Amino acid sequence: MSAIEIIFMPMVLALVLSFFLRSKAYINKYISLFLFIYMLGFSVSLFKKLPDEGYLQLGSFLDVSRFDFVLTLQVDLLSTIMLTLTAVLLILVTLSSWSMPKQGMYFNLLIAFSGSIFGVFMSTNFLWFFIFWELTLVPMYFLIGIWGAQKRVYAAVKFFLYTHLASMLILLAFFLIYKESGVFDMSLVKESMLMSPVLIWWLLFLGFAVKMPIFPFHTWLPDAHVQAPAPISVLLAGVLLKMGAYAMIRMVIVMLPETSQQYAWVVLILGLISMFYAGFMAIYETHLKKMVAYSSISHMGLVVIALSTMSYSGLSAALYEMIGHAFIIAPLFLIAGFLHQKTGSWYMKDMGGIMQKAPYISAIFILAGLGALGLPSTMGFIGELSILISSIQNFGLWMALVALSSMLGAGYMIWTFRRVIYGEMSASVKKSNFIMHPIEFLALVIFAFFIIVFGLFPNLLFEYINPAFSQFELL
Amino acid sequence: MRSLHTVLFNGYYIEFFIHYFTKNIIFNSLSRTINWMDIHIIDAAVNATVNISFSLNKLLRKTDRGLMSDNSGAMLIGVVILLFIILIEGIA
Amino acid sequence: MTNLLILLLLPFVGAISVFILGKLNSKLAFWGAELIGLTLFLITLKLYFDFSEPLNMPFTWFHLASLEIPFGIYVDELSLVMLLIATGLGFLDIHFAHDYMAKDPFKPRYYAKVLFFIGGMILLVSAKDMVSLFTGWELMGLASYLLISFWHEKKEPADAGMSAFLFTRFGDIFLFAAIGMLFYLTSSLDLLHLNTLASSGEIDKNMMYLISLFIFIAAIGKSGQFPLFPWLMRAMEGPTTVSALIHGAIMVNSGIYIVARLFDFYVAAQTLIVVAAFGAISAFIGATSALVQTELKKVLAYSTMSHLSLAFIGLGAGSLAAGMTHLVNHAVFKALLFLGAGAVMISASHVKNMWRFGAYSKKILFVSIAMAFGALSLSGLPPFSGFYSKDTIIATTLLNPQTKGLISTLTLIAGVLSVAYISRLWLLTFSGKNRDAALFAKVKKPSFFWIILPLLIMAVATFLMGFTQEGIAKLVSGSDFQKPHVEGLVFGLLSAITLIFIIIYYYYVKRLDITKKLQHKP
Repeated sequence: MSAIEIIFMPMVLALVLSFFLRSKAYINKYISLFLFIYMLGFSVSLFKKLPDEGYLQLGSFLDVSRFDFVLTLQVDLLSTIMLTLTAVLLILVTLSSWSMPKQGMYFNLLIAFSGSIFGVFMSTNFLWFFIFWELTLVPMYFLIGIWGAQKRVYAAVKFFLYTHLASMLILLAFFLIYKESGVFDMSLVKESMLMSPVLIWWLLFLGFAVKMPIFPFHTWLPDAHVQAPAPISVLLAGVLLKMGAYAMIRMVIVMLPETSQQYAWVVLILGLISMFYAGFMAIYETHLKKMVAYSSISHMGLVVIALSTMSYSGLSAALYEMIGHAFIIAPLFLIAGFLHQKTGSWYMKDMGGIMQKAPYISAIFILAGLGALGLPSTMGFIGELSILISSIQNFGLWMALVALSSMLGAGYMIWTFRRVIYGEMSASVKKSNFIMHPIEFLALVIFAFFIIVFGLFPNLLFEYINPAFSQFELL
Repeated sequence: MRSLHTVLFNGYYIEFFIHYFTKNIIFNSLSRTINWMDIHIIDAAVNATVNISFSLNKLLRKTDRGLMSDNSGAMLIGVVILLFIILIEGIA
Repeated sequence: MTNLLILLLLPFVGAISVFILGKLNSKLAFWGAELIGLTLFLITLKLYFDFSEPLNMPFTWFHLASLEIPFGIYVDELSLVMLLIATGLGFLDIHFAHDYMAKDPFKPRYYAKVLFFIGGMILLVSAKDMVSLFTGWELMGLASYLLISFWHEKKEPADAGMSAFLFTRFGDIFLFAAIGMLFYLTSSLDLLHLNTLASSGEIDKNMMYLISLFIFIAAIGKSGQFPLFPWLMRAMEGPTTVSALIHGAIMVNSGIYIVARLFDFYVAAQTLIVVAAFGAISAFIGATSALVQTELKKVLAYSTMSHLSLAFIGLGAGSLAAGMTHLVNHAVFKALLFLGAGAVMISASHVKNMWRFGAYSKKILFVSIAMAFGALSLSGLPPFSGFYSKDTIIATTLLNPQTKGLISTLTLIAGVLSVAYISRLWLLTFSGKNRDAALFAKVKKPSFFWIILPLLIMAVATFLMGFTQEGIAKLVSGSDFQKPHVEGLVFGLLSAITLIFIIIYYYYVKRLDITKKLQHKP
């Protein structure tokens, strides 16, 4: 299958499936599982084909040369890493929504989502990038709106509007770039071609900041996460936030290096605020899933700090932390959703003593939580250590205060363990049985496995992460 | 003697002080303020924008009578504006 | 080399396999752990006897762009001594747990966590650079958290575990920050290299001062010093065998170890006086608070705090050998005392309050003898091991012009008060009249092989170590050690010890009625 088919085939497939396989909806999950495994194979196979430097051409399609509206598909190491991460997460999300209600539609939407997200990471034409970027929102909107919790409509609308407004800024920036440089491909734009790089920088930065999310554009995230079904939260945190960070690297830091350097302090300060702000929010939060969502923002704050260094070590650290965060936050969301399903409450006061009922699930929760607070031998530690080192290398010794993030992490995570996992059982915990579908449990185990393996042997990832940035010219 | 005994027994109340500090300063003051700020300033600003745009929506909706002439009039205005832009761009 | 690698990996592999084996049959968990504990000790012994030159294994953990993050292993005499303590006492502790944890349904979990704990300490003391040290440091912190809240279904242990993790974590972030700062300043994280760099004055003095304080904060957190000690007392909620591990063999030693490992760095940064000052405050707080505790284990916990401070004071006064020998001696007698307390609690249906004991030497004679050995060593009576190091520390503080005065006075008070609280503990538990007849009637004899034997081994060890102090001092400080001599100090100390013992004996055995009135009413 060629690159263009990998993008559009899922969308067509989703349409076809929704018409023909209505009565046999359970087949959908097998189809989507196989599709995602195939997509993983496709992304992994790209690693071998990649040239040492620059892009691997996957062909140009839909050529409307009059408007530079070419669907140029090309990937470099960075996008290949993102593709692989996406495919892995999609597989694991499929596994962890094995017993989801209303399956037919759910997996159709997931399949449609997979196509557009691959499009985001593969297309370098601004307009097509934008189209795919927006297309990811549509399945997400429905996934949150249909399978979500009580306030799902509010959350879905908020999510949609928020990210949509941001998209307007991005679109404006894209047209400005085209107007000023006459090039409509991000791999060809150079900063020197632009007349108003500062304006473009701000438009792009604000647009992507909403997606990341960076303080003060973060309020959509807790709502969307809380209302979304657990596997979709995993996708939101693992793929959609990463999409923002990916775009930030590609179109802000790499494309506009000089302006980025000029405004690095803005990025840095917003990153620090995000990290501390969300950390304190998480400490105060008693809603389990919101706590996880705030911890997610806090970690993205760390990523932003790493990005603000605009150095090779900082970008490598950021990418590692992005991957680590995806694997660490996933089990937390999944287990939070599972506990809500079993106890009927989101609040920590109604939980407690889960360890006595479900020791293995609790153990995975603890492991992921320890990853979030940055315990050595988990992915979280490597991420925090490399961000600490790279930010100190770039901004000087005062950046040692990044280390405080792991204290905040310990504050909210350990206290959450105390309230949810340990302690005496609450009434609602006592009367429910915590039996998880074995395939969903398998997904948790795989997440836990990744957290430890890449935490112990980070070079497995850094082998690919480091060269991904060495081809860029940074200041 | 008795009070000295109690102080010693509790390890000079150092745990009490630390607990007091974390509970009241970090948790109750700092975290609570930030939480309040998040709900009442940042999120409120977002919600206010949404509400304003919704009410604007409602107002605009009332102007729409569904008559053909209205629609064509609006279209005409749009075309004029577009032409105007193109003209200005062309001159510049 | 292979031995060292086995030593590093076996605890972790063992923890997993013990857990799986234990799920099949809970007896296998114990025997697996016992076997692994013994193997670890034997390997350490072999390393010790084969030792000719430091084992050095530099590894690279990962590359961050062009930066190289190391993960090295380095074992010299100092590490070997710590390894011997950790594995030897760890093994005895596992052995002891056979009876102590006999009725617990979660044995696999327990033994897996204990092995993990020992593994963390092994990694910490055989670390070559800050990153591997921090990894061991944190893994150990995690294991202590899991072990303290082992009975997680109850409120107090769960709280205690949380408090332990948060307090130590507060210190750890400073160590974490120090890693980043040192990497920036020296582009090296090698501990020995840092020592040389610091001595040669290649690091900025102010930065060095700051970083050494940061590392010391981490040491304070882990070693339970003022003001980060409350977790140490709360940790008593865990199983007593765990308390013995935390307070004797493993956890609290790490704070002193890191200061000792970076001793030249501290000398160059001129922060030793801070170390000594904090040590003196903690020693005083610990010793005075230990005097009035009602729970057997709490007395020992405060005494741990006070004695580790003595080790810190020894280091702070500028004598590596004094501090480290005291640490070694303390590890042995404190593990002995804790396990002895565990033995008392097993016999007395897990009651902790000393006021309900009394006259127990009639029932559990061997335990009382073993604990008497530990108590004598702790109070610093010759020829027990505690005497030698305590005496050296006090003499060092008196001879050092910086610490002479307030610090040496506090040290002296803490040193002398230790006699008071430990004799109070022993007298209340083992002599006099029994104060709870119902409990006394139920006291059963502990088994010789599982309980008494490890106690006796440690009692003999703490006695014999008194004669090998010069050797230990040479091992830990790497040079011949001249014992500082202060005229009349030994005589003064001995008479103070005797006097205090007589006072305590009078008030806690003869005139218990007066003392009882003073007791804290909760």
